[in-house]
Amino acid sequence: MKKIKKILIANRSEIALRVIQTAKEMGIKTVTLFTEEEISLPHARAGDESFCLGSGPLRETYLNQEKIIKIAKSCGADAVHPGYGFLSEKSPFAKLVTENGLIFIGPAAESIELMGDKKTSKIKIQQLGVPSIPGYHGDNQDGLHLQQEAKRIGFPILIKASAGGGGKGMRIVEYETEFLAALDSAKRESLNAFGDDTVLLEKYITSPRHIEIQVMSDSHGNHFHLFERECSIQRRYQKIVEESPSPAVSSELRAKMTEAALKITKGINYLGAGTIEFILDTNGEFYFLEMNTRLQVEHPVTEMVTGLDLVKLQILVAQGENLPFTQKEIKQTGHAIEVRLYAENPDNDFLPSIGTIQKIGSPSLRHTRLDCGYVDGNEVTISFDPMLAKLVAWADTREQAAHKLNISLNEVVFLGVKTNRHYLRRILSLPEFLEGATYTHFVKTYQEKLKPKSANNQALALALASYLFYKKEQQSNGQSIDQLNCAWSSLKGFRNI
Amino acid sequence: MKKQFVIDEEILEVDIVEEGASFVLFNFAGEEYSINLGGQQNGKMSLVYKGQNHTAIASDPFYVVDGEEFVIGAPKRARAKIKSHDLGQMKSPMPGKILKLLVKEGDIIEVGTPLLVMEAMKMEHTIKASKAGIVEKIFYHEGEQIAGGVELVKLC
Repeated sequence: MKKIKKILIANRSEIALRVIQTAKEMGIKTVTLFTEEEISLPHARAGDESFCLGSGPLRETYLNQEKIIKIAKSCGADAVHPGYGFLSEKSPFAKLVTENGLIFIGPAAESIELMGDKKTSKIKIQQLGVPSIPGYHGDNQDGLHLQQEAKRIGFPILIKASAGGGGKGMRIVEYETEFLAALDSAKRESLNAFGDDTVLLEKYITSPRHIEIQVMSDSHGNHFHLFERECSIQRRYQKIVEESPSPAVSSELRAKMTEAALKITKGINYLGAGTIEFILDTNGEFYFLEMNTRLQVEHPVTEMVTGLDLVKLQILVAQGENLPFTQKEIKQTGHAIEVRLYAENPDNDFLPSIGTIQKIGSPSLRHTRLDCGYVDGNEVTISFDPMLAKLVAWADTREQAAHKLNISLNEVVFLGVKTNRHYLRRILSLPEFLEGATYTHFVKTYQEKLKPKSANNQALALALASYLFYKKEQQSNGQSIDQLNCAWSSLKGFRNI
Repeated sequence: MKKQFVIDEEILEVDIVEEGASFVLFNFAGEEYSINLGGQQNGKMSLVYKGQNHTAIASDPFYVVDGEEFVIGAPKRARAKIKSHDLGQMKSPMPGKILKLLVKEGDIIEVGTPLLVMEAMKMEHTIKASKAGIVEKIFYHEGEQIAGGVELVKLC
């Protein structure tokens, strides 16, 4: 067992700040990284020490393994937390960290490699007796061969980047005639995002839900689950609403799904925090989708229903400690919902937006949480992911949590940049959401109902009044500065002395 | 006094009867609105209308009332903005890279025809034609980095 004293956080924005929170509580020093264009972002200087990665493409900065290791060693860090995205699921990085005598806060490189590849993971999962979706995971990447395989599995079909994640390089194909064009586009996107254009095919389930199980394992053979999260509501294959518990999971189904998840973590002798993603169909059948061998963006909902600090647990197991509970002691209490605030325009195909954030609001209700990577005055650029923040609310029931989150979204404005804030409010207010009809095509199904309604006259009148009052105030401030200038100029003779 | 304002790119006419530092009275869309300012600090204000308090946040030109966001300005500035929208040119919505051209010069296109695929923020976006016509000129080639708001394709 080795106590960690200083963690280098190989990540940015809200997740870097999240790791710092826990590290501070545990008395561990932190080191943060930033690029030249991120100097004014809060994570840049949030660590006890911070280092600039320079500028340029990601491979020169956040994906530059050698540079990051060099910084970690030079500042005397004894552990590296990879956050999510970037290097978090790159097994060579985990290897490099440990080879340099540092602790990688995450699973063993072998686990990342095994589960990171969609092909090898599916084979392993089948060996362990956990069901997965019918598909083609072969090496023959010839377009016409893949088209034949797609026909064998049956349309609709899903094309996925083998090395992928976050929906990049992913396409649904309804008809055979559209297959080759979609394949071309998926391969191109995949090559750009991951440097690899290998794809796999899967049967596309028509009304699926995305249910995932949070797992946590220590190095003494103790494997736990922290219940499920439902993350069905997605746009561009990225989650935007996540919750725990799932309105679709009965206690019987929960027992089955968590048991399957633990079968996997035990079967691969996993270490640390991970997420096992399943697709749940309308018959209550579930299929293994993939395993994320890292902390998840949506981990706060699990933290809120279990009362546990997932980053702390990650650090404890990285130090070689026993997890301080039994499965029975972990309870799922109340309901938590998270929404992801993105700089984007939901009314124009979720096209990312850029700009200067003039003002950020904050939530005021109890049991709400804003994990935000920006402060007033920050620039949102095209260089990084457009996620600005995560807003989470906890309450006794799902209905109350949704209500609370809706009110909080009213407060958490990001003025200056077009965001999906109002769109998220429309989702949370939709009767279908409140009834729990949350399938992965939710956004598409309720497209019409989710369109913005024109503001009522009272709201317009109040907005106009706020404009008039604000302008008046600015004017009077301006005048007082003018008067001040006058006062100075009238003192001219005095100042000349 | 009749005044025009542009709220979310739409021109609204308001008849202002009284306008003070903490009280306004105006007629708008056939209704009379008498609104008081409860307080204002750092762009955060409380408005009182018919005995009910409303929260507003202002950071010009953005105004939020009870969570609803509006862009408000004087008409002159906004008219110029509307004009530039009217040119009918296909522009890049943001900086990024041209991945693939889907049309060539001389092609006849219709509204909604996919013109090109660009990549921004690690995602692909398809730029579609906003009007019909014949492609006269394509200003960029595949692989080229482009700025936001630049004209991509000219139609004749």
